[in-house]
Amino acid sequence: MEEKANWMEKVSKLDRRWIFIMVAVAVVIPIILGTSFPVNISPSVQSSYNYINSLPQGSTVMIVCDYDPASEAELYPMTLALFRHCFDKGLRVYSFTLWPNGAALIERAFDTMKMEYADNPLYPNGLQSGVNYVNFGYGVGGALVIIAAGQDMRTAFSTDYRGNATGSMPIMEGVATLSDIDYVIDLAAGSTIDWWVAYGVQRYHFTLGAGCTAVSATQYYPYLQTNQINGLIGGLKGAAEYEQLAGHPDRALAGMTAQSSVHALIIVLVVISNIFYFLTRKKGR
Amino acid sequence: MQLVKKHLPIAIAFIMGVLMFLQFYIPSKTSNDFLESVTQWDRIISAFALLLGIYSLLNYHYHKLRKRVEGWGFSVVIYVGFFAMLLSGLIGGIINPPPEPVLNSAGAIIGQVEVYRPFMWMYDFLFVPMQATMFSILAFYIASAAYRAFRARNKEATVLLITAIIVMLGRVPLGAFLISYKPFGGEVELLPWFTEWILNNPSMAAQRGIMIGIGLGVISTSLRIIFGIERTYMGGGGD
Repeated sequence: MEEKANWMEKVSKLDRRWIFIMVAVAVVIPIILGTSFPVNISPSVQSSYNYINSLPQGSTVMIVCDYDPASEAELYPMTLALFRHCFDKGLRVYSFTLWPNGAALIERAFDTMKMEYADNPLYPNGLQSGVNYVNFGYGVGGALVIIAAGQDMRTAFSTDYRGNATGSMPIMEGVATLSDIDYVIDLAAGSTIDWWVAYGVQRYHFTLGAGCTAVSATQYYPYLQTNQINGLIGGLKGAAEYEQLAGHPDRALAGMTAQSSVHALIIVLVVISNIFYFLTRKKGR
Repeated sequence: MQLVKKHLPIAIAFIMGVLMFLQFYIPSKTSNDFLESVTQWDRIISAFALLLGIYSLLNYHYHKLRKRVEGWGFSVVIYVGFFAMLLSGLIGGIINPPPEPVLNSAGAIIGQVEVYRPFMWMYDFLFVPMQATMFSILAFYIASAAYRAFRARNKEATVLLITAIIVMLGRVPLGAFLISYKPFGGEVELLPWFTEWILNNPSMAAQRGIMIGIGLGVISTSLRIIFGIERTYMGGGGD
């Protein structure tokens, strides 16, 4: 009887290293096997996709990448999926970041796009910086950059990431302020979506969408309900949904099985720990 | 000293606070010009705040090194990392040159190879993987913490536990795959639909309550700063 109680005690206080091994296996095995599940499209992701899809060729989309390499796993696939959709539609893409370590990730994403769209008939000369897209780099000043861009884009971003003057770039034709951008979407690892709503949408009246890490997605549902944002792409699942909608399956969809198995593992662990918790508590009584 | 340390900052906070408040409600050119000017000033000051942050970081670790406090080795890493990135950026630049074409024996382009500046090499091959690793480790700790702490100890914890399990399953494709029941005689699957319902209703109601609370807190703190009641932003240092 005592042996049984000891055994239950041991399981309920399982060494964390065993849990770490289980998580590692749950991540690695699905990646090796390459299994996949169909992804359900949530209304908030569909809404962002539909809005971009409805824009005519030559329209302007600003994709703000407010994250750094720590959140790259979730938000970089989202960035690539949005870029692909925009370039498929022949839209002009503007990008910058309010995070100091994010600018190089944007440049890397544009470089990837340049290679992918090298032979696309929409772009006979390939994707060109200053013509089809522009990376403004890091904007110093947090929320103030949003206000500055709302007042005058050329003043807020006088040079691009590579130091070229933006004033004379063909992509800036017809774009004076944020109000001239057809769609702004903020991909955020922190609280910048709040800034974009408070200092951007409320002052300068443009259409805003948002993307964020899965853990912070619940914070932004109130903005969705009040139409202060018209769409919300949440975490790797949101990125996978967007990849599926845009017809460019990539790393987000590939990561869905691993994420599913880890979620399932955590649920199993929580259920087991609760069963043993109740059993040991019963014994204690 | 009272004038410089106390009265002047309070006066500046009051004047700027009132002006910025009024500016929001006055849609005129003068008002917009004022906002543009203030924004530029603010951005310049923000850049100096970065310098202050760097000074503060280096100063803090200098004292840790000097006193040889426990873990001083990490301060060495801070110094090495900071100056390696700073110097490589200042000397070699922070942007890679355009990729170089790879030619075959006939001189035709068959690909391209990235040419790395030292700064970008360290960013791509040290900084990015290290930050990604730090974030990835969270998954392991969350699993371990959930196993140890996520217990149905009372009614509230049980509701939280059940909701968490539903949302965790509903937010991944596996959930819809395992429970593929479609109610209402349509295309909508039960689990993703129920997950969205939780996020759109009880969760959002709680989030809205928090947001309204934060909003009221921001308003009251701003008013306290504008009227000189709240002075902690001026720091210590005595009167």
